[in-house]
Amino acid sequence: MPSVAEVVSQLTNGVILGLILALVATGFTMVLSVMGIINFAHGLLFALGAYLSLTLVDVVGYWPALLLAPLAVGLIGILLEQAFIRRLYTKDPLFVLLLTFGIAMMGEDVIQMIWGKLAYSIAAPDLARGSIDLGFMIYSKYRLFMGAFALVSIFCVWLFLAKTPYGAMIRAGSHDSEMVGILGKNLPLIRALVFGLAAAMAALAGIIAAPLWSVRPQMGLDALLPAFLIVVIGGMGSFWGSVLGGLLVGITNSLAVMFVPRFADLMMYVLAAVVLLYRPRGLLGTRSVLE
Amino acid sequence: MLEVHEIDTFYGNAHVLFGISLRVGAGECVSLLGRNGAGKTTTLRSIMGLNAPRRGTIRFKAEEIHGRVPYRIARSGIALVPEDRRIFPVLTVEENLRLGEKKGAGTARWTLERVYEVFPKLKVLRERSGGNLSGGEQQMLTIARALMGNPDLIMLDEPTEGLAPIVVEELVHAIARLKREAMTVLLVEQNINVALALADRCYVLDHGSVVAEGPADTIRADEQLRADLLGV
Ligand SMILES: Nc1ncnc2c1ncn2[C@@H]1O[C@H](COP(=O)(O)OP(=O)(O)OP(=O)(O)O)[C@@H](O)[C@H]1O
Ligand SMILES: [Mg+2]
Repeated sequence: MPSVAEVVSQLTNGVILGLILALVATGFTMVLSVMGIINFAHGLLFALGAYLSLTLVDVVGYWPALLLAPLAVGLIGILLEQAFIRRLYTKDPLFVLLLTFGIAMMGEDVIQMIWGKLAYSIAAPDLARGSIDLGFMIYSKYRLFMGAFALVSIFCVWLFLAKTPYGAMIRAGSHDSEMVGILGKNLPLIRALVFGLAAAMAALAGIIAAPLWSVRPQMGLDALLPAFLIVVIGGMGSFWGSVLGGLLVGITNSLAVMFVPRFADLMMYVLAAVVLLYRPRGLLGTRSVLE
Repeated sequence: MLEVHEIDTFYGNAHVLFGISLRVGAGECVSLLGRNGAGKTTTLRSIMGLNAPRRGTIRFKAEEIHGRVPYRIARSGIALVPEDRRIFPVLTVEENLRLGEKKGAGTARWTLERVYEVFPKLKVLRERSGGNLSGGEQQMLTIARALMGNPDLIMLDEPTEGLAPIVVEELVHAIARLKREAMTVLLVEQNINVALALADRCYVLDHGSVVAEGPADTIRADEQLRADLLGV
């Protein structure tokens, strides 16, 4: 049996992984509820965040890269929405699947063309290198930093959504976007901004995850699947549902790695199935993805 | 103020409106009557740009607005209070109202204070989330939210549907008050008593065409029309 310190440290890993995934999932569910689009290219934006920071860290250093890369990916997101995604709002879900999946595949190829097939790793910033003795366990400073940073980011996004007029527009839009347009709000603009914000959040998650995960072309898919499950578990359109779902998936994963390592990857699907069995709309959802 | 000229509207391939024409003058209250499925809602959706007509023209304050996207039509000064109310249940009453504010149109006659004055109940409920309102309160909220945008023309789609008589009365008073303040109103209403009490003129729709029009008194007097087309 693992020692208590090992369990606590694994649990902390799980919580931190959960927070990073929550950052990906909240953006994913925002796009899903405001635009009605399951964006299979969302993972690509996560990967782009990691790759751009890889390049930017060498040029401008870690901290500026942490700011610049999400901004750049946010812009890329807005361009993608304007060029392709917005044509899908009135189309059959099958088109959405094909197009966003196509964008994800193409994006992966572009990443391979620019950065190659090999996996990279990014060094943690100086400030967060090494480990820290918390008394009951010794823990990586960078992981703690990642967790804190993800938590602060999630909180900022929540503040924006809950306390600003733009946030109110987005929350209203997730419920009934046509009505937001009837009230004279520039719906096309809101949609582009929501997509950009979601892209920037995914990129931010990609950047803070980069020093721990290896940066490789398929990392987009590694983030997309859990994000999708988290939205299903937490409930479509629910911000705190995604955060809760993220934490549950992260913790489940960390415990599974410790106790049933051979089935670790499977456990989050089991978790999703169990939740759906009892709550078809997810833990905090009021509508299902298909309604 | 509003001139709809021979519009044809489709849902996909289904042809629903056949050459509808109607006029609403400034300060007038005009009512659209007709059976279920006659095309009343579709007419309002066409004006709002939600289902743009394939043929015909729509002029508002001497500008052609057909073919514009809904938010631009809203900004030119038209408000739609849709039939299923569509308040935002996740927002509070006050957040719903603030979302109704818009740039562009009209003079700023309507403010939060003025809206609360017309619908005092909403002031009491202002921190309540929209999802926890009764049907009548929701209806007041949608009308109030539309007013917050200072429209020149307000289109109401069956505002009294499914409400208790006492609430209907309250709403009729509120709409009558808008009328007195020279608001231009286009009212879709199944409750013929409400419609005739409020309207200056009426159009009767059937199967996507205008089959009768005239002052409210004429429609009230025409037993045959009421029996054939309105089912009362
Ligand atoms: N989304 C839609 N797709 C296809 N047909 C529709 C759609 N909405 C309405 N229709 C059809 O268009 C016609 C007019 O409908 P509309 O809703 O405008 O009628 P209405 O006069 O508002 O009726 P009600 O009094 O029931 O609200 C009806 O025959 C209806 O079946
Ligand atoms: Mg109708």
